[in-house]
Amino acid sequence: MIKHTFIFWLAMSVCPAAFPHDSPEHEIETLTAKMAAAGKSADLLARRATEWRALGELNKAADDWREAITLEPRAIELHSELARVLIARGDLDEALNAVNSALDLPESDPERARLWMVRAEVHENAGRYQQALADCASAFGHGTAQLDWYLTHARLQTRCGKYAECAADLKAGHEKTGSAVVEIEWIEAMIDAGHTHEALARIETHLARARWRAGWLIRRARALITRGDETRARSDLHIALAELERRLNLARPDPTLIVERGLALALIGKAQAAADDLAKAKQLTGTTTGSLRLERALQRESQKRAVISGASS
Amino acid sequence: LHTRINRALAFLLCLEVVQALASQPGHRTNAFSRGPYLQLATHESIYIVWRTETKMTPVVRWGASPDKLDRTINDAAIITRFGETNKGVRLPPGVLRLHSAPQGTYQYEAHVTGLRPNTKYFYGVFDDKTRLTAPDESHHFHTHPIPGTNKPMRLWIVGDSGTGRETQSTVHDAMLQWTTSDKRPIDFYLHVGDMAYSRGKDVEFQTRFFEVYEPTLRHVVCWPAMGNHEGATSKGTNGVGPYYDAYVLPTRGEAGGLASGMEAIYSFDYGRAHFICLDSHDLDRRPTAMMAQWLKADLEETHADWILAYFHHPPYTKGSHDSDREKQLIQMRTYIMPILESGGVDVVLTGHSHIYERSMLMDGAYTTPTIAENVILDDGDGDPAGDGPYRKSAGINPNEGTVQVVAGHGGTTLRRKGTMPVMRKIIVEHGSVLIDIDGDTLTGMMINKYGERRDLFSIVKRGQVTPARLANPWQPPFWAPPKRPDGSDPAHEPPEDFYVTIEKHSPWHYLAGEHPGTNWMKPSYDVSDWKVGEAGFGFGDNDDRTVLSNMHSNYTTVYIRRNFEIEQADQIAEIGLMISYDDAFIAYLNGHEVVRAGIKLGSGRNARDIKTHNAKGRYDYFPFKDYDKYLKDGTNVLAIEGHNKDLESTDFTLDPYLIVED
Repeated sequence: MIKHTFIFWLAMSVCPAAFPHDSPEHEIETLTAKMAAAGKSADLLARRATEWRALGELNKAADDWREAITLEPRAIELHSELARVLIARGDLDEALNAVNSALDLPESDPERARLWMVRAEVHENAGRYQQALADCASAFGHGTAQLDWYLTHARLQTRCGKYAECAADLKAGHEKTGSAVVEIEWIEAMIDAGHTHEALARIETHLARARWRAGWLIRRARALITRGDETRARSDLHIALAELERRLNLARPDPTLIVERGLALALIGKAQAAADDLAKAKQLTGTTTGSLRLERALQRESQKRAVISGASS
Repeated sequence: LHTRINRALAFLLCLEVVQALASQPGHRTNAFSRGPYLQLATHESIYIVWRTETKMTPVVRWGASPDKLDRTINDAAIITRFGETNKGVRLPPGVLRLHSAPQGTYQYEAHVTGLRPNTKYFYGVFDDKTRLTAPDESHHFHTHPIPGTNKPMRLWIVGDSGTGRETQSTVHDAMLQWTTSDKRPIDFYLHVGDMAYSRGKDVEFQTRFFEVYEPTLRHVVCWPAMGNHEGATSKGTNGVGPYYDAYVLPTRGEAGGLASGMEAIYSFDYGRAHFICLDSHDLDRRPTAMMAQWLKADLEETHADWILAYFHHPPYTKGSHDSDREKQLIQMRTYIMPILESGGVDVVLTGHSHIYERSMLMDGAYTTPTIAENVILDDGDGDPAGDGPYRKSAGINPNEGTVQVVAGHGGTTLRRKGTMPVMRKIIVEHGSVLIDIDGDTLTGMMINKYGERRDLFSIVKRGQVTPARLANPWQPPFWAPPKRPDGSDPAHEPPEDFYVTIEKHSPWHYLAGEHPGTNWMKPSYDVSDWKVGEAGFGFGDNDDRTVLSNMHSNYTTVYIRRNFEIEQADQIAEIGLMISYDDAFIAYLNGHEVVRAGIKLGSGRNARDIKTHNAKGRYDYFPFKDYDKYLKDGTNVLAIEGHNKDLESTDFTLDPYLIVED
């Protein structure tokens, strides 16, 4: 296994070259020549795959990872990297096969945990949130969590309606890491779980020191809505929207601000405008993973309208 | 010229004073294997870090003058890390493990607290009662001003410097010369990555970073961003590797800004400026991922007047890298730049691309390929004495313009691929960048390795400015790498500072007219029955010392071999062939192929698809790939097979010599 780790370590030196000035194209040319002369090896193929990926040539990257695996079938990271490229390419079934074929290989918990996180990513992209959550939980149980894992885990718990668990796990995560991002997710999770008292206390602390306040005002509005204080919530949302309009470069918007605006719009009942922002964010980022609460707010708005519509008819 | 001579004299005088002080008796100066150096300064604390090869009783004393170090931090409050390469060995309680330092290394990290803001302190490192640092003024530090305080500052920015070559030192010296001359030393420095070529190993950090910058690091904090070369051995996701052994970085907002929870990304405050370090190498760059979320949150909480972000991969470049083609660079542009610009960033400092490029005032250039139309807010040169400074509103405002600085010219070989249309200055010279911030004015300067200012720009933030996008801004003239007369790509450039380790026209063993055994390139192969002749080998063009008069129509391949000696192979920054050749060749270092030119497939008798190449009396340079895997201390073997395209070729040349840069 040491050998396999070493091969990966070499391959993953995204500084693929011994020379500082080599661009991906140069490196691909060199690696190809080297393979033509000395034959292919998993190391060389993996290095070339990394370069293809850097250039966005996902098909070529996948081909090289696959061939590398035929030469070093027990190198775990080769399977992981193939799966990641396949996820990026949208080939989720093949990505799942790539991870599954490697699950018997790890000899240590951290290696196993990283594979589970890759599989969770496959399942999440396929909309299989329960399975993704199960893999994520397994990863947390077997490895030192990376900070991004907390976000993935929380997102999946929220998707699966496990709000209280999510808040508890993020609280523990924040205590362990101190990460401000984990804290923000924890506050969001507390609001989702209805624990608005503690959430509001933390929101007020951040609001007191924030320069840009829209994100915190929207969080406070969500908490206030949960507590039934729609009036104050609407006031916060209008202030937030005004600030966001000032910050947004409409020709070239920051997608994270578009998501925030969409959420504020959804919470004040402007469903169409919010849906437009969701679509715009998806277009800019290629994903909806950062807009979960906006999606859910839109769903609730839609349900509310359906109830009103049903009652009036 | 007069000014330059004065600067040089002042600099030399300064160096002499430092050396004289360092040689004073009464202390041990050779006790350290690294440092001491400063880390993680705040307005009330700082870390002093050093390494030794033996255990000691660490004590740090500090005070208002070198001979009045009246405050002490000792053993119990100093973090000890130990280099234990056997992961199975359990370390004593309280001793932390260094991930990849040599066996037996001790690293001590003294967290000096309770300091006054904006104050100069002198310090000494002691082994119990024995002073290890020289009792001189060079061992000092300044605490930061209280965040929010309006204090002028100067910072030094250098990137892609970690070669250990003379150029790296020259760039450093040029900065010292400049700052000595204008009596304005740097307050801290940012390294934008690639500080320890080629794999960021501990020994590379030692010889290509700490030893080169030691005179500065002992009294100035370096705040680093990880480059891809450090990323070969260090990982941002778990904070493990030589990079993370070397640096003490904020994880919980210790120096201002929000807690990131990891050393790979952090921020800190200095006066009215906020500095943000990102890891563009191995963290997820997507807007939904942790790095972008932290960045957004951090930007939302800072109340500074200036925001400067730094990381390794440039969003805009056509130096040795192309931001229109490479994923990391594209992602930093499309995912991270919108967050930075909507957060009001003023300057983005990067490296990776081995060139100096500095943009106009710009905003919103996120498309691929990058175009200048409608993203430039001011297409002047930013020079107060030229087109005037770039102007923004007072304070921090979104989307009012950013200046991009690519400072990948700190020591390694320079390259240019093309022209990035948003750039105002594109300079292919070694150097570094100084930035001064004083109140509402930020001034940037590029100082080349000769100590000359080659670029100057300013940003003034005053009043209310309404940015306007230029539909047809000034753009730099088109440039493309020159082709050879035959239309082929240009050759590699040899390193600037090299020595010759196999001289021109040296004697080589050679075999002509027959093929050797398959292992002929391996060191163990016996060539004692080969002939010996001086390079170059060949016929037909009157440029040969060993004339192969029977080669025409009889054979196409010649094999040559020669031993050469290398000391301290791990210090070699680059090694390569200078060779005049006709038509093609393959070179092997200790049995491993390191260069191939003009032969598409196979080798020896099986070489195929050989291209014609005319030597024309010219030596081309070919750096060896992966030499660090194969080169060793002592005797090494260089073997070269030279090929003619076919038997009817009318000439042949194989005339190599070997150069090394350390």
